[in-house]
Amino acid sequence: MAKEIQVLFLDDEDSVLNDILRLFAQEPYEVFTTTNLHKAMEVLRKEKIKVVVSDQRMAEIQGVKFLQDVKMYYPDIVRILFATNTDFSSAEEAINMGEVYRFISKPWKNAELLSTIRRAIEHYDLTIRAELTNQRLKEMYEMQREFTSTVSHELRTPLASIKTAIDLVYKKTLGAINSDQEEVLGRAKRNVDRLKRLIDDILDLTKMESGKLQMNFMTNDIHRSILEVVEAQKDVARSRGLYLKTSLDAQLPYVSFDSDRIIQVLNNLVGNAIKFTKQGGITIKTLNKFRENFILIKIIDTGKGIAQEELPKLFQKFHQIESAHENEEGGTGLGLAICKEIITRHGGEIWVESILEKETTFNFTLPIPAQSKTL
Amino acid sequence: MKILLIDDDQDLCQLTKRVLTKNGYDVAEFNDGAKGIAFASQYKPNLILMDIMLPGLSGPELIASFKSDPQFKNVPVVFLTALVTGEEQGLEEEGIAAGGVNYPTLGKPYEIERLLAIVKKYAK
Repeated sequence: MAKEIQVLFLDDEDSVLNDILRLFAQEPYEVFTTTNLHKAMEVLRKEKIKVVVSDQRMAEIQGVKFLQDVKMYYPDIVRILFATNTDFSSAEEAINMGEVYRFISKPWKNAELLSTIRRAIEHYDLTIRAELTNQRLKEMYEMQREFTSTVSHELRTPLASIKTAIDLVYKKTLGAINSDQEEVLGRAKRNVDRLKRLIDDILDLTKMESGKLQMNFMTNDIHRSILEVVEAQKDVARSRGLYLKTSLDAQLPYVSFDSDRIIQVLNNLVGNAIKFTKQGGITIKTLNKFRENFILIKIIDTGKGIAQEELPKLFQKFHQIESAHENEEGGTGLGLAICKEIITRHGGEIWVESILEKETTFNFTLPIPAQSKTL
Repeated sequence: MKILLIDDDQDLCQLTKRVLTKNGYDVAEFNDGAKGIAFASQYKPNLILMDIMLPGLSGPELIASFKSDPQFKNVPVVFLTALVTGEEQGLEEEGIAAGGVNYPTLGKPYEIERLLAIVKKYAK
């Protein structure tokens, strides 16, 4: 079987090229040599060249210029420059600019040239393999995403019948039930609702992580969103004997955000705060950090606090702190991961601070757009 | 108050029918969209509640055919869906364009209260 052409040499001196052909005769790949630029381009077009070696000083074209063209049309090909000592500075510059992989000084040492070319071929093979792997990973990720949304759709259909059936009986639409039946069905209902939330959250997170979720950014007043969340949650807080108050910075500028998504974040953080607070209450605070170009939103509770070692894990998927399981409502373990995704997509940050048995503060920032800084 | 219910999921269709009949509505339910729409001219519903993703004729096609009869011009069509893949958005838009109610689609699984609130709001 004929050896594949893998290396191309361009040099305007025939004697140099003849030496090279002799030197590479024993190598496991074919070397193509030419003095002609057009011939070189033609070979690049037709063959699967991995490495191109070009002389710097040629009558037709400068080596670096030729290699720049190669880079433009065949970015994967490893480019090597032959340079005499008077060309070293331009060769170095070409390497630093990423135009050239290596340079070989002329006159060369045979062993050095052979090993440089071998390494260049290896480099090519590794790069291509990495690209293929990357491509494959992307495809797998996309398949997984599609699978997740299909599965959550398929789960939703049977779950819809189960939920409606339980609700019909539990809500006594079909007639009276005794207290044992009510208790048992209540447990079933809570778990069906939890399963529904879990499916919704998994889908939400999958959409966000794959960038498929369209954000609807609008310049708006975050205080309106906060007040909306307070309105929605105040009864729950009151029923547990907790206060839910705000401390809003009147000088807060409008910022750009997706209000549905930020309300989702606020609802999640306030909901968590209510869940983990037995006495006292929750304060939502806003601060204008215009010097740092962001606004800061704090959700402060007087709850049981979170141990320091738990803090970094909180935003991980399916991480729930132990005591979360004692709670009757049952979280999905995805809420904070979703919050983090949403805030990150807004260009903000989210973090938590806590003192055990005293308080917990969830903080998030939203960047202030340049034009509204003066407001 | 008469509701024409179209959902190819037999179990959910029967359960939804129970929710509605127990709350005082008269319900005609169909698993097949075309048959359901064909029944409309004799049933004369006050509201249609239908799954937007149906086998055979699609939700928007069914609405278009239903709305082509002038007597149903003012009868609202509300959608139900278990789709969450993003596909439903296109269907919703088409459905609204065909004359469906421009209201957030009732997602499955639904809350009974929300179903009743929507039906109460639109069935006239």
